[in-house]
Amino acid sequence: MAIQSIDNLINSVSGGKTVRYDWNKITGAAAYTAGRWYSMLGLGGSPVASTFPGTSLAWQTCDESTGDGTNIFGIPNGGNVSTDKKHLLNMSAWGTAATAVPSTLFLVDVQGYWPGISMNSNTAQTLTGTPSLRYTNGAGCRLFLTITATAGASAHNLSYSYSNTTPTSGRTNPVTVACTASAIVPHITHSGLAANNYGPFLPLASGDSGVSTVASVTLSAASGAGTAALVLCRPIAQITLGVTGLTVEKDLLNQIPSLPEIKDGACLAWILGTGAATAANTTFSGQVEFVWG
Amino acid sequence: MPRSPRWDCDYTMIKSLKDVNDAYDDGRYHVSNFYKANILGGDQLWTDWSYSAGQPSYDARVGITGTFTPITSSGNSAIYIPPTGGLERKLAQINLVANPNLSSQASCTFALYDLLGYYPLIDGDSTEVQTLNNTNPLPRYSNGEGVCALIINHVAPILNSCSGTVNVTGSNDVSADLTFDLKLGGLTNEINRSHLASNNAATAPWGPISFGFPSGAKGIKRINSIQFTTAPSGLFCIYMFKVITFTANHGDGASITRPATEKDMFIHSGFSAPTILDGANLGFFSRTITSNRPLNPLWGNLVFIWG
Repeated sequence: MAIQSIDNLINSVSGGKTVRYDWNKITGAAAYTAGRWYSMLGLGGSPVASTFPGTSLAWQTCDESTGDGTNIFGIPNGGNVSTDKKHLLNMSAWGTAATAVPSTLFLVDVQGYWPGISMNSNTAQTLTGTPSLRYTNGAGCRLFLTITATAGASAHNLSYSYSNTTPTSGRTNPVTVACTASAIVPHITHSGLAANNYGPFLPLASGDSGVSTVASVTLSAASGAGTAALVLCRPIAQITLGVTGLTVEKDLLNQIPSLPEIKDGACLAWILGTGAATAANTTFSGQVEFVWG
Repeated sequence: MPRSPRWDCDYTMIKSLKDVNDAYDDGRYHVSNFYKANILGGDQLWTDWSYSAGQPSYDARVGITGTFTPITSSGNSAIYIPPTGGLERKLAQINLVANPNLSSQASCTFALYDLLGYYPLIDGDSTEVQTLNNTNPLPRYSNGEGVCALIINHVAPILNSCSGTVNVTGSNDVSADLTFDLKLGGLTNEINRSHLASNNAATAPWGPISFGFPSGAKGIKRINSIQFTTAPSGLFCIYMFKVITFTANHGDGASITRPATEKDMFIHSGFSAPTILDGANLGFFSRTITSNRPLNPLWGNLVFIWG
């Protein structure tokens, strides 16, 4: 089954094959810096925060029903619907404070992560485990490195060795990627305004369209402290906030690509791009609505 | 004579809605972030964001005096473009918020450009003919079709309004003298109201981004020389560039509104998603409508797909 027409869509909605979730996230005690990206996986609110549990450097699968195995941090989206196909129908978001805008919220399907990556190491850190992904060979999946304990003050670059969708191993970053010294939780540490910062997702080697697994990460220098989690996710859709307190709505039917698919088991979460310095304890809120048929 | 730059909108590999959806489904896309703080803006003046801090970083466009300096992007020296393994890269979306001065808002217009190169440090204290060095060719769009040129005050402030003449060679290899005006605007990164003198008054505060083209030409291949009628002072730079596309944010003149622009090239631009060549050096020109409206910040991202 699939929604292939407006008639199909109407039938699904009228048949109850839809679910809506109102979400809310509040940034932590630290202010965020303009021009960077931050993971909201670990922020309080609704759904609950992930604490990135798991064995250091070992793959941790995430899904809708069990979250990270400890906290069900993903946005509920109606459970498994196979043999139907589920889609994101619409979404909205708003920020409560003037310092919440301008900003960009990116909805991603978190496939899982490798926790406990040391930011105080300059040797290769071998990542273990075989990701079980909702996208064949990681098609469209992207990586970001989010800080889970404040990094040290020494400058450091990031290199990574991953397998693409072929899957061919040994693929590496095509450009120098700089992390941020003294990056705070939950900064996506390679994003920002410094030279060689990239965000929100890590750049892939020429021609690559996804990541199926990651073999290792290496920092050019030990930063002095800190840990991070390397998150493997599938970007779904983004929404841009420009006005304080004004709800921005996005109709996913009338855009390209329309009605992004939400896979069974999807573990949906937001990452935040800050177009302005964002005060501590700033609230973001909104809703997402799904339909299947 | 074209009054506005033309931009490339051909598409060869991604030809249909299915191709677009397949690119997204297969993961052949990339999101490239940008942020610029305090882009100076004046009443209807075009300005280049390169002279402001952020990501991409500040770049004053300097080099060897009067020598064409070709530009090929590397990493995030401009808006990062993903390597595609030889497949054709398209601009799929522009998502941005521009925040003019945190006060009364007005609409802003943006031109996304591919900077091909420039002639830096042209002497604004001279009224002699300054011959420019064209040893280096255009790195992209080498026949000059669709290539535009402008002059910008890029080092020291312009002190005097004046006119000038550039001798250019068009894409049809025809050379011609084109006149332009420089008007004292007070902004270092201000693009001149460059135009044929017959097309506009020197006192007009606005004009097209580019010089005109020689008769019959579809663009400018090179600039051969420049001469000011009176010395404007300062140092000037002539850009050679291609406009990729235009967009705008539509402000409210009465309140602090910063509406987001989410422009999908396939929906909002007649399915004409511009091709982005390898090495493209992407940035934005911006034009605010009212005076003293620095954009602080200009924030957003470009989405590329390939196939």
